[in-house]
Amino acid sequence: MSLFASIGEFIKKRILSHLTPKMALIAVVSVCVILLMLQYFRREDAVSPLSIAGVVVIPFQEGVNKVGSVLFKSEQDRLSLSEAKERISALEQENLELLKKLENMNQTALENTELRGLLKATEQFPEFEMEAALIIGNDGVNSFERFTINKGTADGIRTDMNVINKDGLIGIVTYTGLNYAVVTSIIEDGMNVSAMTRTGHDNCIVTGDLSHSGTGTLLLTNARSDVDLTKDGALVTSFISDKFLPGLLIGYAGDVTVNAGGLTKSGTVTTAVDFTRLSEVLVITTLREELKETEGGK
Amino acid sequence: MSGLKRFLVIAVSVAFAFLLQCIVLPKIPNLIAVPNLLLAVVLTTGFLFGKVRGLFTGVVCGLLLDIPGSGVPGFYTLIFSLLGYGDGVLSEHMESELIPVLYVLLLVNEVCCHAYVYVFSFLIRKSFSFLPYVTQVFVPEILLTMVFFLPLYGLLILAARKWDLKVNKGEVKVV
Repeated sequence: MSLFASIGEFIKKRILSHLTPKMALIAVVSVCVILLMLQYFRREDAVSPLSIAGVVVIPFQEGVNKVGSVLFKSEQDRLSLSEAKERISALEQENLELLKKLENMNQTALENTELRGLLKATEQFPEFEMEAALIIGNDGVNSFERFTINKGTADGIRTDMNVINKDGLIGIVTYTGLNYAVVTSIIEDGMNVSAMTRTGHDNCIVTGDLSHSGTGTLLLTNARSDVDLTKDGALVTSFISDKFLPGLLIGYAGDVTVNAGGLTKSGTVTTAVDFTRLSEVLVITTLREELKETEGGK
Repeated sequence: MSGLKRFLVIAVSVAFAFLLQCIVLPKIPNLIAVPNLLLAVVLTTGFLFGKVRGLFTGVVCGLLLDIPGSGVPGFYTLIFSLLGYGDGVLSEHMESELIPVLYVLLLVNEVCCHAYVYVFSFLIRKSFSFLPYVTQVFVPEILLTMVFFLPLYGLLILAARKWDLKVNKGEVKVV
């Protein structure tokens, strides 16, 4: 206790006696502003001070997260280590099935394209590699639909990686720390995803919108007016997106109306994923750019 | 010793608010919003223990939101520290510490915080969904924060009274 007292005494005499409240305020504000400016002009994946702080906070958060789950009997986890391992192996199994599904999907998409003679793509997409992750927290202030997962750069997660679960597309990794990553979901206000109909490959744009956030629907715009969006209904990520891998299920179109000009249609999209009950996700560690490179290489 | 105790009281309430706000409450299904408890703690600390402690509590609470949440360092830290300091300054000039006055202060804090968030994360990318922001984010959150604020403030006052901590005000009134 005397050590504490002497440290306290030292801090009081040497630092606090010279530091007026106003100076402290100005110091804090300027540090924040500098950090924000740095962030604004930041290079991709530069080591930020937050990443270092995350090393301390995230394991703590992960631990408490488990306690919280037990308290609220969330189905996500009363996870003991063995249970967690079981869950992981189950997830891996699911991964395999998903991969199969994805391949099938891509296969069908390709066949369709060939038939219609729209594209001359003949090569198959390479298998996507995936990493399972648990959601450990969210942005506690807003319902802007951002959340944190327990895998980071140490597990090979990088920004712009697509995040899915067994139902469909969830979002995209927008920030990475050493042992955590922040995912922005497709229902975030202003989030744009370039989409296409699964059968016709007709492009449109799906946008997250705050005014729909409670209902699990997104906005659909820029679809050509002669396209029947509701016939098949299923919308998947398109070939022309530079961030999203093609062929991931987004949701189902509804309420489609022709716009005033008569050239385009707009409507809503009901997401395939139930965003109110997310607990574990899969991160596809194949980036869209890498996919393009392999396509170009062939 | 009173300094250490006061530090502990503030630290415990910050940790408690963080756990509740960022980890436990989001897990409850169908909750309309998550109360901004960290802001309530910043307000209480600034109001009870002065502007310097309010400032530093604001820094800590802001960092706790910045690190796992938005991924933009300094975003919440900036507004929370300003609010903590501001509450401290206000409490020096205020006679009353009645609960309704505190609620007005809480409302002012929330409005400041959300105006800041709205301007810098919506207007800055030209998204003008003002009405949905108010009805879907702001109003549910302020209501829940008000519900949670009273017990939090009460506990802090009781702790201050029990350990005879010097508070900014002349005397401590029981809630």
